[in-house]
Amino acid sequence: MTSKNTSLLTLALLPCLLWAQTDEASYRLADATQTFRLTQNAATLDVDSVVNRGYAQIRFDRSVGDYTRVQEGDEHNALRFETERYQRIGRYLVGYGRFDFDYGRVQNRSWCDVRRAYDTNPYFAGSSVAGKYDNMDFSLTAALGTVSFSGFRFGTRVDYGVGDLSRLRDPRSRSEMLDYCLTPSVSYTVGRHTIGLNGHYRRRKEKMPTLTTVQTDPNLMYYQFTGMENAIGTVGGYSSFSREWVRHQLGAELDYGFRFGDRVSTTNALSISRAEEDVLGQYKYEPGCFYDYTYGLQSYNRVRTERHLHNIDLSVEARQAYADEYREQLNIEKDPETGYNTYSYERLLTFSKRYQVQTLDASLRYRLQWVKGTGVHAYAGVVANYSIASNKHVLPISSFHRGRTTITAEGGCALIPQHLWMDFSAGYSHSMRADLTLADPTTDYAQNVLIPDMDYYSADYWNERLQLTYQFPITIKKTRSMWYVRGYVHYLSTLKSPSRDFSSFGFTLGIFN
Amino acid sequence: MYMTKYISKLLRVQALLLPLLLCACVDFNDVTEALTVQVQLVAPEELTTSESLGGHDVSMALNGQTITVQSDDNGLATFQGIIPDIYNISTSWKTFQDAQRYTVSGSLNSQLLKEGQTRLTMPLNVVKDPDVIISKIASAGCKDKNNRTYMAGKYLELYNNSDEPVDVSGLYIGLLDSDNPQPYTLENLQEDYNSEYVLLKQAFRIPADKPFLVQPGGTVLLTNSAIDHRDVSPLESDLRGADFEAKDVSGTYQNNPAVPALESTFSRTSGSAVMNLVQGGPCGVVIFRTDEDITTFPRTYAYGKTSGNQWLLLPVRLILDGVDYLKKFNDGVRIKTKRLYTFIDASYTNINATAGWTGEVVYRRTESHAADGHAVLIDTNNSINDFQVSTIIKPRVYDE
Repeated sequence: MTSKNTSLLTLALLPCLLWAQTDEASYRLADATQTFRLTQNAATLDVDSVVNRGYAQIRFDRSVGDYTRVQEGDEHNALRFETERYQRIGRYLVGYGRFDFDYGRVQNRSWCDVRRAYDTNPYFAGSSVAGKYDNMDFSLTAALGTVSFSGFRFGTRVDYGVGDLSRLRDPRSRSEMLDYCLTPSVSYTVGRHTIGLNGHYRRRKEKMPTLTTVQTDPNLMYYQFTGMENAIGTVGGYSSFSREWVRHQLGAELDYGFRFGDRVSTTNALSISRAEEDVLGQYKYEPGCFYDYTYGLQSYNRVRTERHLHNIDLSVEARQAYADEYREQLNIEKDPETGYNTYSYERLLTFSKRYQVQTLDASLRYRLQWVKGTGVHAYAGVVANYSIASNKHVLPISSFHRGRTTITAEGGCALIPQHLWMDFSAGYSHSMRADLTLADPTTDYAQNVLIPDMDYYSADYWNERLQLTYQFPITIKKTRSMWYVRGYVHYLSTLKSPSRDFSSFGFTLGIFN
Repeated sequence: MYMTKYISKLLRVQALLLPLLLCACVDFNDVTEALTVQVQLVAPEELTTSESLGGHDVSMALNGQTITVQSDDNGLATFQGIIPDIYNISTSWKTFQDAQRYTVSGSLNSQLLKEGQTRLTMPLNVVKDPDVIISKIASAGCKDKNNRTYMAGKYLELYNNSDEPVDVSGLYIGLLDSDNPQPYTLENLQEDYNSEYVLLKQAFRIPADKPFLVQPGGTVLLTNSAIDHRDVSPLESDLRGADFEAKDVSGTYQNNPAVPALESTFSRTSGSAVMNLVQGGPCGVVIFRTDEDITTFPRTYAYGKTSGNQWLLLPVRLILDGVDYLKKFNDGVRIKTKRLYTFIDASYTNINATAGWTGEVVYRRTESHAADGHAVLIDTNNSINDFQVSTIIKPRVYDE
């Protein structure tokens, strides 16, 4: 039997072998070769050679350091549970499910009581006093796709997430989030070509009910932000403050895939989405509205030889977003018969596109994997990232521009086949641009957040990561399962003096199922 | 060969898709632009023809920042590069007629400036300067060393802003309504009472049994508790030298028998003989004189109500001076909650805290000093211009 036939036979038996024993090596190979799963198109689940596989793990992560931004905090601890599963269901369906639970604590975070502070809706709020924040998030993904019916495949995907972010210091805010997305999809395969189309509707709501205090310090200042350095601080302003952000997003994705046996494959996705995020306060007060357009291109390319698998991945995402700011006046109407008051806000003025955001993130990855049997036993590669962003506030004009390029070399191998894996990476990140121009650099937000963060954005840094994974079988009631333990350390250090650093380590216990 | 063919197909596909991505869909150039605003001063009939409208400062204020330009000979003030928003626009100057000092002033409060609304007309008023004015309202209270609220150290001050001694005996001090929601808005008062009255929740009188002379630059210190409060908090003051004290019959506040009583002539709530100065606001104050018996003044329930609490209706013709002290909310001061008409107080004042307890005091700014050195306080009938806030200003002091 020729080596070519051997390889083909191995590939044909791959699903059976993997079903028999999923392990680190086979899971990596499956992840590398099943590229349609990286799109939003559930209908293409069957296009990939899906085998029944999954894992469940619990992990602990800790990060600490001073190379952080003011609104991020400088110490993070997180406990996470993750599980996913690809599963053929009956004769006609292929399913994918994922569940994540994240429980974490951030120390010394300030000036932001919501989940998103950067390149996003500017109408958020926060306290200048640093404090601890706890988060508890659940997210669930369920995708179902059919097999081919005369070339057509149908699918749908639901993403559902809830989260809670609580501040543990006066003034005590609590942000509650609900985020769900429904993505129906369809694909058509003819010969080696597959075209897919999906559309999605996403609704995200983040709500901050009334803040509470324990110490009742009358001098506590609370800030409401409107973009760049513009922030209104009010003593006791947390009293009766409440706000919610409600985002409606519609989008579509066009997919194209080409397969030449198991030798060459390409999966490409072009996406566009538009989101509108309303901001609502007491009596439906609206400080403004945020609009967000996102354009994406992903391309996953695989070239397979007898012993190697070449991965060439390209990802580009561009965003154009802006906020219209409103001026509203409170009207109080008293009913002459009942004496009851009715409160409503009347919009007097709209500042068109007063806050503007543009971002571009591009990533190019090449990875060479050595394939042996049904799994990967080593890999080496390089990743290049390019990102630029600008924030601008008009009338008066303030702006912030930043750009960064990162090159990372990565590699890994099975030190002891079927038992011990090592992954490592080392990278250099260069700040190409970090320019801040403020109309009023004396504001509290400028002095305490924007200007200090410039050290973060202008720094070049090295970062290294080392991860070891040890897997071992355990038989419980005659059922043999592959377990693994994993540990990693990551270290980042800036070049500029004085040097700042950020380090992380984590520990994971998991099982392949 | 096949692989090469298909790899090149790969690259062609990506080359097709990439330009689509780079086409921008949002035009960032259609933004709101800055404005040129013109404010035309309109002289009142009382102003003599010799008084020029030119050369006077006209100010535009927003969020604590002020832009000032001078009016031209025709009384037109032109502002360039104005960001559309809601501004408080005002002007004032002093004039002398028949050896009396008058204030010429005008204001446009919460004036919306946007494209198409950039030519404004500001009618001016001429008001004779009162001798005695409300000069300080210390109503915020504070927290004591055990973080408990402390209200006993609140006080009011009146100031003789003239050059002659003034007898303040028989002078009334009225506290405006402070309920939320307010019992009558200004629109309701216009509808029911033709803007001829304001609502008082309490009225006090300086005893009229004997003269009480206040020298130029002198003050009248009125408090609920004329003791030394400084051991409670560094934000509190020594009020043992107060001129009059609203005696607390319930015993909540410690009184000073050496300080004469401030007479309580009306209170919305029975049994309340102390001044109800609301710590975060509203805490508007008026001073007035009348020979009439104010207990015979009409009273009213809240707008639309026929039962419940009643407020005293005070004729505006009697008011000598008024300060509209409003509450600040976390979205700012709500102009619609004004209690005083603009011809009494063109705008409002407020402390920075939404709930008080910060020891903040609102007090009049000093305009100049007279020949004998006493301060002449600003009085433009516009509290946003006339008052400022401090946590360190002490009783009877006006320069920090």
